[in-house]
Amino acid sequence: MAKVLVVTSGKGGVGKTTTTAALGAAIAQGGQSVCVVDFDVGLRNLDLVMGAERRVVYDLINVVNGDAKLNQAVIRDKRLETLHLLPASQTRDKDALTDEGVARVMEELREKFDWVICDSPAGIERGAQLAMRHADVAVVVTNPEVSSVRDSDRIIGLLDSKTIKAERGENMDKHLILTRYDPARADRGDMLKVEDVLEILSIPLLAIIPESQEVLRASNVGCPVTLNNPHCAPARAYSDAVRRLKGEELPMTMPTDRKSFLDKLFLRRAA
Amino acid sequence: MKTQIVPDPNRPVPAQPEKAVSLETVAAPAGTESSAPEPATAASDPAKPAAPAKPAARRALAFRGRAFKAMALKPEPPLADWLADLDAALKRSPTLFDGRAIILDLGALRPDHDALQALVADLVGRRVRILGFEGVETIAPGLPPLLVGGRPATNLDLPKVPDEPVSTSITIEGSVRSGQTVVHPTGDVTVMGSVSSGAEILAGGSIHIYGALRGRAIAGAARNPRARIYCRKFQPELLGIDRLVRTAEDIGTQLQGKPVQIWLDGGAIRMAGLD
Repeated sequence: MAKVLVVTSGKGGVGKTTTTAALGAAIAQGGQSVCVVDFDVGLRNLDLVMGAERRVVYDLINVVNGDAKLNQAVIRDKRLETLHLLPASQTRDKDALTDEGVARVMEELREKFDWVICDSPAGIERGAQLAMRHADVAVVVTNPEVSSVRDSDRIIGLLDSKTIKAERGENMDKHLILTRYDPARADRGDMLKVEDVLEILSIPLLAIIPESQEVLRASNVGCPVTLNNPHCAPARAYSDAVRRLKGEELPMTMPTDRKSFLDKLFLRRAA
Repeated sequence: MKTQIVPDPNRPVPAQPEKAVSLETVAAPAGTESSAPEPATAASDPAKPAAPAKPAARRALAFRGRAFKAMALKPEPPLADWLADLDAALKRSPTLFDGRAIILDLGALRPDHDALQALVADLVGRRVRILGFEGVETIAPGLPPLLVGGRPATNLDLPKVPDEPVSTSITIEGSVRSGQTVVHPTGDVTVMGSVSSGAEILAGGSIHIYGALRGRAIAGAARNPRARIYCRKFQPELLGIDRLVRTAEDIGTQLQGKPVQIWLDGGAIRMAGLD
């Protein structure tokens, strides 16, 4: 049975799209078929981060409205054949999504893929609620700063009330991914510490993604960070997150790009 | 009384139906039996000298009348609705018919034989014990007897199961998240988790928070100055009791993060640590 995962945050710019692409690619690298779905209708970005922006013909709205079939709109990744993208429309807005249409598309996606990862738009309105509505698992992306934490808290409340799972009275599986974390700045008190965020949100921690230039670099070349450089610290953190999602018990570490003498020597030689 | 009519084995007993011996225990319906013999004649049989054992104790077998208050049920057509009402009454007081003899008044229903058999079976299935019938002219043999001459008595007081006490407090198992509001104007609110920044609790009574209070808590909203707020970790955005409100700015920092209770003292909000 397919698993539907929603990546959500409330606040914009915290790394939902990066996380969606990175998790999708990491799961696909493990051999399972994945479809990442961009729900950010009107402000689509996932196609750029996935490097598929020039191959978009049909999009989610077309499929929801019945103008196109699902397999016409789904774009298969060129690097990983198990990775797929269902892009959003840039020219429409979130009101173009209908409840029944989204339900039908999600049902069809469930049949075709092992994992469906929904990239939620920012905010708490219709778009975000539709993205989370059909999810089995939620990943809440949070930056270590107060406004992001409070918005995440709000989103957790919505996950516990507005999803189909919650309405059935079941418990929504929620995980936290803390992005852009800088241990040195957290120690200095410039940033919230991991414990502070966990204490406020009180949901299990899936990964800590360190602040890294690798993330921006991967975005700009249109490649999920777990695919672009699987050995960099954020990619390793995302890979660990996927293993934890699949039920593995891993100790939580703070992945860093250690610059030991040997690493430097190796990197210089490779460059 | 029983000992009086045990026949002496040495003495010839006058011919009489065997069941007459057992009649003496039946009181009320005895009148319907017409062939009750007079056992006293046996004792005063002149042909035989009276047995010397208990001559003085031998008295006439008495048939005494006795009146009891019985509960009368009057089934009304349509029978299915009446049975449904009966079930509802039984649900309210399940012991309604326990130990009670029931007279069934068939005046309104006037069932034929099969319908009456079915009705009796229905009632027996509900643990209703039928003592007799009234309101019809004849009753088929094999069923409880027909009773006549019943007089209406006052309605019986039925035992009532007391209603569930109305709970005036509610408990939230988890946390109250940012943007959520809990409004309970009629009693206390207990939150097992935390109240997040941007969340709000409004209670008519007191507020108990077993996690951190980071949002707003307004107790005693039903103009109750005795309401209090208790929390395990004190980081509120706003506190209110009975229309008095204090924002985080006016709260100070000395109690931050501690277990705290907040109450009203002579029109002023007071706060103190719980440790």
